[in-house]
Amino acid sequence: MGSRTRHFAIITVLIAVSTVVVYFLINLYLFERPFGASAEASQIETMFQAHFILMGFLFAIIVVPLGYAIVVFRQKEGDDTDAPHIHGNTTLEIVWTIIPVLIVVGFAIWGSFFYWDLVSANEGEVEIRVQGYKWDWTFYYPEHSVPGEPPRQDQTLVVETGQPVVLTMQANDVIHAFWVPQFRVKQDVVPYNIAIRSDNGDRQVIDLSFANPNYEEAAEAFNYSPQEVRIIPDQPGVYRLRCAEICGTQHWAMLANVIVLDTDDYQAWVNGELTLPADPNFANGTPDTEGYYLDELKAFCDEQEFSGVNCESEY
Amino acid sequence: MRTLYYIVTSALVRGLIGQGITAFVVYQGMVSLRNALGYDTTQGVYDEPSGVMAALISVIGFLLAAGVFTDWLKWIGGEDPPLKHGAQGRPEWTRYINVDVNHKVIGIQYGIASMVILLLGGLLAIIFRLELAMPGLQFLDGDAYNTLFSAHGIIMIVSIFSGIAAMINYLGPVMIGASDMSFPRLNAFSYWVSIPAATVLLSALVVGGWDTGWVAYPTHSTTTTMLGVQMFLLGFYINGFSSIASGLNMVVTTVYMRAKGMSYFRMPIFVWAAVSASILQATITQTVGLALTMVVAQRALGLEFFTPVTDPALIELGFPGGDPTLYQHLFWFYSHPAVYVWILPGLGVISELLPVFTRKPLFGYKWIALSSVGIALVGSIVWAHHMFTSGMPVTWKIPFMISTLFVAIPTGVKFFSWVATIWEGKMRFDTPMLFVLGAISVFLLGGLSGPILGTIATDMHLHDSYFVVGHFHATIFGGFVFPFFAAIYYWWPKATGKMYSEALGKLHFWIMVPGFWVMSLTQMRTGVLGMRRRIADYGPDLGIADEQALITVATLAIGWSILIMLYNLIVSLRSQEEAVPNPWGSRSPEFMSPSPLPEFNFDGPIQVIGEPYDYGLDDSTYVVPASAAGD
Repeated sequence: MGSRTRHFAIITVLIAVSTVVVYFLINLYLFERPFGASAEASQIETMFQAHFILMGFLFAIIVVPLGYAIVVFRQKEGDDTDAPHIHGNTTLEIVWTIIPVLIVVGFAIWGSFFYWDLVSANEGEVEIRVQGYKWDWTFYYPEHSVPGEPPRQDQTLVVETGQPVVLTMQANDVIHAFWVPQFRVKQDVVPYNIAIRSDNGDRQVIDLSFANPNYEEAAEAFNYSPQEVRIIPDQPGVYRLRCAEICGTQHWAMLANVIVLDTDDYQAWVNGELTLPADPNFANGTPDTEGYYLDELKAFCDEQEFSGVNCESEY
Repeated sequence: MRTLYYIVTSALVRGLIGQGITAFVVYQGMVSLRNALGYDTTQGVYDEPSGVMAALISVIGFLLAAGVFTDWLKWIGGEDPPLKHGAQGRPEWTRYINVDVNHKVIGIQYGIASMVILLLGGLLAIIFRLELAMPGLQFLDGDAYNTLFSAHGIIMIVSIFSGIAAMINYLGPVMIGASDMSFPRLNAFSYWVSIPAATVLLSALVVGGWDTGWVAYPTHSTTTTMLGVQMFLLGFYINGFSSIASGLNMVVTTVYMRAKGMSYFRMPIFVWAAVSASILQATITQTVGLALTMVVAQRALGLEFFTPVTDPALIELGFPGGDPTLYQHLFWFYSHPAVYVWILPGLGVISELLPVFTRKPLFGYKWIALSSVGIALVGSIVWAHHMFTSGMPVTWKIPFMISTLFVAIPTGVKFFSWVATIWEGKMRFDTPMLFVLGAISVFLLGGLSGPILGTIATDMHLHDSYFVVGHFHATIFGGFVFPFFAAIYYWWPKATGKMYSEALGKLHFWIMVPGFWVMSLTQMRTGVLGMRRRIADYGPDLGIADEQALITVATLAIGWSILIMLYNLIVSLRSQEEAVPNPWGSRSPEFMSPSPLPEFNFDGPIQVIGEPYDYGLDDSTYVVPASAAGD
């Protein structure tokens, strides 16, 4: 076996081993994902895994030959001569262009269908409207509202396990972003339109806010489509919504509780028979760690007997 | 005494005084005028429209007082002033604080500016990293934190622009065998306009700060009451003139000033990267200028570009309502490729140094050269991947996902070619080479954390999280900071004629590279766990307090290691020992000349008679004096 062949044989083995080691390191420790609480989270997990395998392989294919060359080929003491004169290899260059192209095309096609599928409407979904503003969140529940009256609203997002939800979103000052890490979805919340109607020369300002009792009518008249994101929550528990787009002084404190309840508890909440934990709201005074209301969350978790994982590891 | 006189009468000091006086006079004049017209000028820290006018005019005040326009004004007057070379009867060091047209002086001016600004930006980062070391707010409030991270971002960007300009200016002309840039006066203008731009930018910190981040998305940037935002926008805007002018200059220089025999595929590889970056910055900077101008105008003049108001009467006339996301397109159309402007020269440095320290030809020269162009081209059509969560239609997101993934192809070609260059190379581990290896490893972190952000499904979780912060810092440290430091160590003896301490250089490396790995990977880890970007506090409920403390410790280590480098370099300047002309055994043209390089780089014209990286081939020569070439 020639020395070149021997070197290549050794690094091939090392690359295979490193790929596996790096993949496990990334998957189990380094890029550990938070608890998954929605159908989307499990779906997206597949793509995370694909990326982790790719990361492990690409890391190995660069770092192993690099490290091997550093150790084996380095300049020996007393050797002042130059290295072999190898200035390139067109076949090799074409190979390491074409193979990545194939991987990229594969990822692009798979990723497109994957995403399309992820954001397509689910059957029987109900709408919840999310309004973000400096520096808090309000949720409107058209399903539980009486037409013509101000919609039912809450400072906590309450959803039912297994019930597909479409969250429509608007901001009323600056751009915010909706992120619940346990749901794995994020969506910017863009300031809504104040429409100005000028029929017959009269300029009339139309309020497109979710708080407007006649919101549907106004939205239809102006063809207004707020941002939206879809989830099917599947693990009961208490999570937190965090604003992910810089929005000023108290951006970091723009939080809300997100509570996933099973059907019985959800009905109890709809009927007003369930007391929710305190809303993390820093609007008054300087917040400290107490402002996160962690004890209240913990108490609620205990009371609801939420199965360990999410409540204990998170709070 | 004479030293003081030289400093006080230098272009730098004259310019700063001129800028200060102009700003004061224009501001007072504008306020009086607006008062007379009946406007209320007492709102906020300063009167905003007057402040904007004062900041813009003050830049002209600086340039006039510093004498940057002198020759051009003389041309207008019909004179034909010659290019001034040398220190004009003053000590040599005064060239660095006066308007000088020599590309090497300008390169070093940029380099000093870059390091000073880097230290400032790093200091800001350390302040807010200390705040983040523990959950809860310790010593900063929301506004102070927001100002610090916003300033850290843009100050580092200015430092990076200065850093790449330092490398391109110092190395570009000499590497292609030219005596200077095509337009030496424009070159001086590029540098000197970046100084008043920096002062305007820094003034944002003292007139109230700002809380928009360096991206300044409307409607937050158009409504925030922290008035530093205007100075930030204007400073960013004015710095664009520097980018455009120096980009054009480098492209023209490369096309027209190459030495005899220096065909495009015989240029040192760094020049390919520098030209790719220069073409980008000369052609894309305009759109961010437009975006920034629109925000300035919306704030100061009340033009509602980004306010989401729909008026059907206007829509019938063809005017859509204002749209907050319009800004994001204009901004990222520049700001994404801008990242390639920052990293391409650094990747060029990696490709340039590898053959020297492995004693082996650069593997696949043409492929590496063209991959720089490829990165520049593909990088220009991926901008909307910054907007995957902005509410764009799915049919827009998917093409941008595909184009983003394709960036991996030319980047992969570079990585594989580097590895092939190193393979069987007789590697020497001098400080510059260590930093090149560090750069490759760190850029690999940045590269590998990219595709997961490029596919929309996974980006929905990671977007605007600390994962992005880790990814971004890895690309910039790997693509700019480490190669820049490698370049400083590598060309230091060439530029100064002095040699630094190898031991301290290695100490710097062995603190900074592990420090950076820990910092970046831990940032990514916390991001996956749910840490958002740009937040003053993360709360104890995320369970990432230990990681945050670790990031802070790593940041401090990086900070200290950079101080070691500066100490090392400054001490070496005082050393009596002269560096040899070619300490690394390089074949590049600049190492054929004495250190420091003479005023016009070479004693006479040079000629290229061979390939640039033929290490290991006996009797091969790259450049010779044209007189010795025999024709």
